[in-house]
Amino acid sequence: MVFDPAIPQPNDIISTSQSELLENFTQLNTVFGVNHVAFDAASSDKGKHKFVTMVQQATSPTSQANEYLMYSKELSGKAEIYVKPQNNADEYLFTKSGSVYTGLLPVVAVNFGTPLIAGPLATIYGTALGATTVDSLGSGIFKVNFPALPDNNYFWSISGFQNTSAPVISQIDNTVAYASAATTTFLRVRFFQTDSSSVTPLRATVIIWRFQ
Amino acid sequence: MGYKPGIPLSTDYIAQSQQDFINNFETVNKTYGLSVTPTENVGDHVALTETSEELIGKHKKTTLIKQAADPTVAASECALYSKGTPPNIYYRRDGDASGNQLTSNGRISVGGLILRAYVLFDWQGNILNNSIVDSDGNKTEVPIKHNITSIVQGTAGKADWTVNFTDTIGTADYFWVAQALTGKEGTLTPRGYFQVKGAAAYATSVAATFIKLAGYEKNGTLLASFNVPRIYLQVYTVA
Repeated sequence: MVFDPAIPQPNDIISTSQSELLENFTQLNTVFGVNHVAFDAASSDKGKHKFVTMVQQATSPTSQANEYLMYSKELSGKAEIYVKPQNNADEYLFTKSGSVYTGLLPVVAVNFGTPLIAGPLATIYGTALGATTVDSLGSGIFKVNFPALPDNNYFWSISGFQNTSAPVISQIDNTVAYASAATTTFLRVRFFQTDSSSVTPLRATVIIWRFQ
Repeated sequence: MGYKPGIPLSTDYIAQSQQDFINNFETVNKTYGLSVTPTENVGDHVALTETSEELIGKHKKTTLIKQAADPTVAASECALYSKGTPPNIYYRRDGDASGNQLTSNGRISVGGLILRAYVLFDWQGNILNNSIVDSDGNKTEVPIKHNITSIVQGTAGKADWTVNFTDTIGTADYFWVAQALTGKEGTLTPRGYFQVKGAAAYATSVAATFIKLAGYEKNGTLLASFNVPRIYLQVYTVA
């Protein structure tokens, strides 16, 4: 049975109304309790949300003055969150690909350096995002390895730290073609001094962003 | 008295049921949400007693009680919730193996990275401003920075700065993006190199509470600071 808003009727007998009223109170509590701490909960949290389930909307709802809407709509086969400012302003995408939507999604971030360990591998410091290992290829060239990306059209930032005052130039490895330096599973980076001599930086950071 | 979902019983008298109904309606009314007063904002929803058509049925706020596990999500749905200690906001779409974290450390997590600090400054260590114009045409200057206390020049007149963080990053193993315009403005000749300041030990230049940046001549001596007119820094950690 479901909640019936049209009971009791003036000509209903008590025995009929009793069961209908009972069902309504039960349904009210059950339905409310799907997303909320239920009316009959002993907790002082009753009435608050456990989680907000947003059923995909076929069309964008309308916002009035002094309110902000949050709802879900289908995007590429997934229910993603949209938000709409007051006065029915343009909606904008709030989540995409499992993250808050900003247009660029970081997929790799790693802080690495010496000492080099058996492999030869660079030491990864702290917690990395996406990167699995960093290979030292010699001549100041390192290969940052990561799980396969859909393509090699991404943005990168490469920055080295030296234990001297000599400038260290940090860039994508130009000793090979771009398609061999920036691939779907690794990025080759190169560190060298102003006289083009190679450098093994004490530390370096690499960040890769993809179009989101 | 609290809410009773199991009333009225078939054996109840009207006098008993009437009180039960009152108790239930009062509990629902308060639990669902009351109108906001200067001193109170009870419940997440606009009150059931609200008469304005524009407001009835809507939310005032959404309090997300921490969940022990990711909620189940059916087809054509997504769920927004909180989890963890301290709680952070997650969302889970239909088909996701688990939830996706949206906040961490009081900031938005984008793809698993948090922007922990950023700043845009000039060669004199002045933090630059963003001009914001409101609907009345009034302009406000807002410093382009987050979690930055100060920029201190390390060597007088030289491209050598210590950027101090307001709150500790919590680790020195963060990821930085440090870029600058190098070379005297108005000239075609590129000059100098900009990077984290070289030092015998990493900890001398990169720490949880500061980072040192420098501009160098080709021979490794520090550039005059005016040769690095614009600098920006971003600091990220994993969420």
